[in-house]
Amino acid sequence: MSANVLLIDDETDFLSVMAERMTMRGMQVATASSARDGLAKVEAGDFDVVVLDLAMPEMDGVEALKQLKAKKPDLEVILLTGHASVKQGIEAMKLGALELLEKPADMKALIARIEAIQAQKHDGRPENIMGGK
Amino acid sequence: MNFDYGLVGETGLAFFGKVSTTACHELKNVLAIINENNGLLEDMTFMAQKGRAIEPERLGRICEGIAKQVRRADELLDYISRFAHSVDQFEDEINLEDCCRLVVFLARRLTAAKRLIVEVTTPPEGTARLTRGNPFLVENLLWTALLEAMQFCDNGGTLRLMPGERDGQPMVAFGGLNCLSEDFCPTSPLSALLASAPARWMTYCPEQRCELIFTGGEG
Repeated sequence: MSANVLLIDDETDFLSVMAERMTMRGMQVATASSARDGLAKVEAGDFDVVVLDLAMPEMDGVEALKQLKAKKPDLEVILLTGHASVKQGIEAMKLGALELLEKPADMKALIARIEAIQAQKHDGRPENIMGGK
Repeated sequence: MNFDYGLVGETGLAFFGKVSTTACHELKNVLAIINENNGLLEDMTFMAQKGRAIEPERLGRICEGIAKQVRRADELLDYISRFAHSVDQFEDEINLEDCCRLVVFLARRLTAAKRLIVEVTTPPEGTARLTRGNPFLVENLLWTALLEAMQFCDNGGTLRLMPGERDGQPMVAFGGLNCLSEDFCPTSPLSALLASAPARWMTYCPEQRCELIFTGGEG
């Protein structure tokens, strides 16, 4: 069973390439270019993991994380950030984020994290055409 | 003009810090996108080694994606360089239109948060110039005025910065406002900057327009 992932980031070029690479690794990927769009998609869908940008205009990642966790407390959220302050990182962890990864992201580390979540949640492994790369 | 760094030191540092962190954030995003495109090329190379065909259109799209980010970073660095050099001279001739365009570019992440379109109009020739002014402090004043004016715009609206002249004095008008009221009072950072410039902040509620008039400058 493949992991169902939602990427939320206001950088649409980043979203499209990340989605393409994660799809090549056997994941089902949806994207949202704003926190509001992401919240709506979480409400309507059933995602294993949300990968959320911390610094977005209009509604930042910390506020989005609060609202995501309020809607779906068991949803796993990995935060991505360009320049998180220590304070922001601590706040995100307190709010229930699983991990805080820095941009540029290490795809291998991100995939490993998502697969670990997936393995815990379901008894199965995603099909990965990159063979674990 | 008789600018005084001491009066606005704290506001100036906050301005410098905000511009720097915003630029760092954007450059990190640029690098992240280039990094992912590079990763995609590696993925495709790996797959080609396994015997899968590479589509030339896909390669072209990746190259264009990288080139787009290089252009974006180059433009950002041009503006950041101009901004950094604005402290090179304590006094200089200032073109308010250029100054507005610089500030609007530097503030675009903040204006994007309100989904605002910000336009700068071209003034009549020979107007909207300060013969002597402190470039950094004029930028700081315009930045602060822009943030104040944004409060009176609807989300998704269009804010217009219109450099020009009012009674022979250089000024920048802010149009496209929607909820400006008579009881508006400039915040303390704006007040300090206005006093230092010196400049006046005029509000015209019926027209929903503000003007930043440089009273010490010459047109």
